[in-house]
Amino acid sequence: MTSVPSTYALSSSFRASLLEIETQLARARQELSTGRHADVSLTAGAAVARDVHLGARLDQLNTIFETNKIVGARLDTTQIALSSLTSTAADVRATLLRALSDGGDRKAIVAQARLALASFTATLNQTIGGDYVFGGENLDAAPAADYFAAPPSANKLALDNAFLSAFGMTQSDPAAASISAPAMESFLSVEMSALFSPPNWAADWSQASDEPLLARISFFKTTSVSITANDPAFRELAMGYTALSDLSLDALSDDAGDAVIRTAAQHIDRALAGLTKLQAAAGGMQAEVESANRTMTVQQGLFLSQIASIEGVDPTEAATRVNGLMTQIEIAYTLTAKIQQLSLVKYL
Amino acid sequence: MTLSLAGLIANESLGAVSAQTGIVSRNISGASVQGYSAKIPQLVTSDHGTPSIVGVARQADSALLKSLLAANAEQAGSTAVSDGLRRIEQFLNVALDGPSAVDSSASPAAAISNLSSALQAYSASPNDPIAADNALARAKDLAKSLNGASGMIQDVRQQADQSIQQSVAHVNDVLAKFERVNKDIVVGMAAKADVTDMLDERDRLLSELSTEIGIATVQRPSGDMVIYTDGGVTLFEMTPRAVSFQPTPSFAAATPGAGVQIDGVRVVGAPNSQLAARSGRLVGLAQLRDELAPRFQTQVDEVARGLVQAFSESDQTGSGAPTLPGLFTYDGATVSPGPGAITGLAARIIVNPTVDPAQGGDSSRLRDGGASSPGAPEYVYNATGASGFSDRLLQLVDALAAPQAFDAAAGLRLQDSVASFAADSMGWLAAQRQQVETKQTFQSAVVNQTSQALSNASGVNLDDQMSKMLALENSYQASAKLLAAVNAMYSTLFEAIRV
Repeated sequence: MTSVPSTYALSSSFRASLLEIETQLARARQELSTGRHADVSLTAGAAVARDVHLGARLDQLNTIFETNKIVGARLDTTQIALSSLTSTAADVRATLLRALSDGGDRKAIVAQARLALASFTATLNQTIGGDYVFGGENLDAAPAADYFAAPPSANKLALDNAFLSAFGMTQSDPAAASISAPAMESFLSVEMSALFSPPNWAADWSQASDEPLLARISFFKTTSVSITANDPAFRELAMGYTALSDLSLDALSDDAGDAVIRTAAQHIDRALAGLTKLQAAAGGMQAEVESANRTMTVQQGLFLSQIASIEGVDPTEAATRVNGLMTQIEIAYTLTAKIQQLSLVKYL
Repeated sequence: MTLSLAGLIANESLGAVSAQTGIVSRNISGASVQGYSAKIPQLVTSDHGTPSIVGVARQADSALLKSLLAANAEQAGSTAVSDGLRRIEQFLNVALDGPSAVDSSASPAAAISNLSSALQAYSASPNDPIAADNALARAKDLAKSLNGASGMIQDVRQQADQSIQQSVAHVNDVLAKFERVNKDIVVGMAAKADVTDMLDERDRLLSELSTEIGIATVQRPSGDMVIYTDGGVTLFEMTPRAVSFQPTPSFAAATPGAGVQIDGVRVVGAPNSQLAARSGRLVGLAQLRDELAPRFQTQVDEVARGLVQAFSESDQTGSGAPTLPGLFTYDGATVSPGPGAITGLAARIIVNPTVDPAQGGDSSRLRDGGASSPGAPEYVYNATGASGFSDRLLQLVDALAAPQAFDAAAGLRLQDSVASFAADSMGWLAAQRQQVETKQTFQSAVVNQTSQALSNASGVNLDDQMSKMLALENSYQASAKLLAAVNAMYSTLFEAIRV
């Protein structure tokens, strides 16, 4: 025997199923508009752990992209500075080589060297966002001391003292013409070289740290991303420029002057070789950052697609569901109305 | 057969029909009342053929009622659990909108990810005070998120405790009503009175009771009913048993909740006794208060401890000084805590005031070390004081992702990084919720189906009642016609006699 539905069950079942369909419709609509499950944790369950984890990785990835931009800008500035130093040094070197063959205009050489030294200091003291590019870990102190500062700075005073104690006179003394070539050569290779040794360089010339900046450029790679002003190439360059600018080259005898020019040319040669290496090193860092960025772009896509596979809703499927549910609701409305009409009372 | 007997039968039949009509109209008026069962007149025919109503029965289905009671209890239990879990989850914002679950989330997992990003950004500009302040702000967010999560968990426990109290009061209330109805039924049945409406009421009370605690019933021949909990403890026999509960005024992580007792026997609440009830809202609430919420609390406590450890500062000079809490610390911290959960740590974790400029600290201690004991050279990582020192910051980012040991009581991986432990904890919560909501959806479908089946089996169908009404109308008409005929015959007789 089939059971007769009770009047209460009939009406309440319609109400219950309508409510259920309407709840589903609200969810499907939300999913359609957001592209995500209406209640991710209910749908994904334990997979939420992976979802949260992936989201965190994605966040970090985006941060590293941002920090790589900072690192990249720093390296770009470094490259430009290095190439400007190289071209100035190459110009000075060309002048020196000409002077060695034809004696040249020593006053002009001194002037060019002084300009070069000033530009050297300015270049090393470049900042980006307030941080000194060549400072290594010392971001907030200008790495190179200005040789032409007034009152004279430590590097200028050190050279003056060395000159005075070696020759018993100052550089501007007219008697400088009497300094012999061997004496000058010995001064250059011993006393003056010592001024550009790492300890004296750190004391008088440079505030940079030997430690380069460290940065994380990808999840697993932390690398040094700066070149410090304490590199030998810069010391050589400074030595060459200083010898030309502040040993009263124009007052010296021809022989002693030639010795200064020769020695300076040697130092600048070594500096040029060093600068090329530094450019290669900075280029290597740039390449590393770029390759890290490329890898991370791939990872980013992977993470996004994995997150989407956990959280995401297929829009076509959601749209179909919305349509289906709406049809269902319409049918339910029609049926309810019809069944309500169906009562024996109407026919009695 | 005499004419007067025929008149008598017609008369009594009129009475029976109007009594039946009374029952039909009772049924019609109860048609849309939930739990009303259709009443059936019980007719007998006397020796001389007169019909009379000797009682009223009702359509009932005790098997279906039993399944409904069981389904009610299961559904109420899982609803209580899922409501609590949803509250925690909504607080942590996992279920809310946003491009990704972590983006818009206040969960510790998301806060850790934000802090890690901020530290990474700071490491690229170690000289930037804004980057330092940003990292500090994210660290404060993280501490706040842990404090908040812990507070929320305890709030959910507190609410569960209050709900248990309300639930117990409701049980006692229902049992008191039950006692009255039950007594009336016993008395009524002995007097052979119509007790059907009281039986309906008793069923309704049972259904109300079953949402609070799982029950089993036994009916005795006298009509008396005995109620046991599904764990086997007597809840009602002639008189209600005292259901008692001592609410806890305020909850902290280490506060245990009291159990519900019937006649001194613990039936709900940890630790589970052998006589523990197995279903019902009370059981769900106790499970939430004593198992799930404390488990999640242990997890956030472990996240907090993992953070204190990840950010702790070790001796840099080799002088054998102990490892101390750095960026994150808590009241009464002396050394960085080793493995082993510290109950309630999530509520106590703070950002070390030595790093917070607002409290006289210095945010650059994040970069340089020394947050643990300012001024002590042992804990300074940046020995040269270089402004571009990023080693420590990179170390901290690594520490968040480096594996460390976690307490088995948290029920998650024993070796994990604090970041992924926090993510796993969110996963655990979601999995619990998914499980219980799936159960709840199923149980409410069962409740719907069963109550419909029960309503079909015992309820009123209007059309059925209307057709009965038609038959009664006809029978009334016929009886009335008969009376008129008898009357006419008597009249004819008397006319004849007078003549």
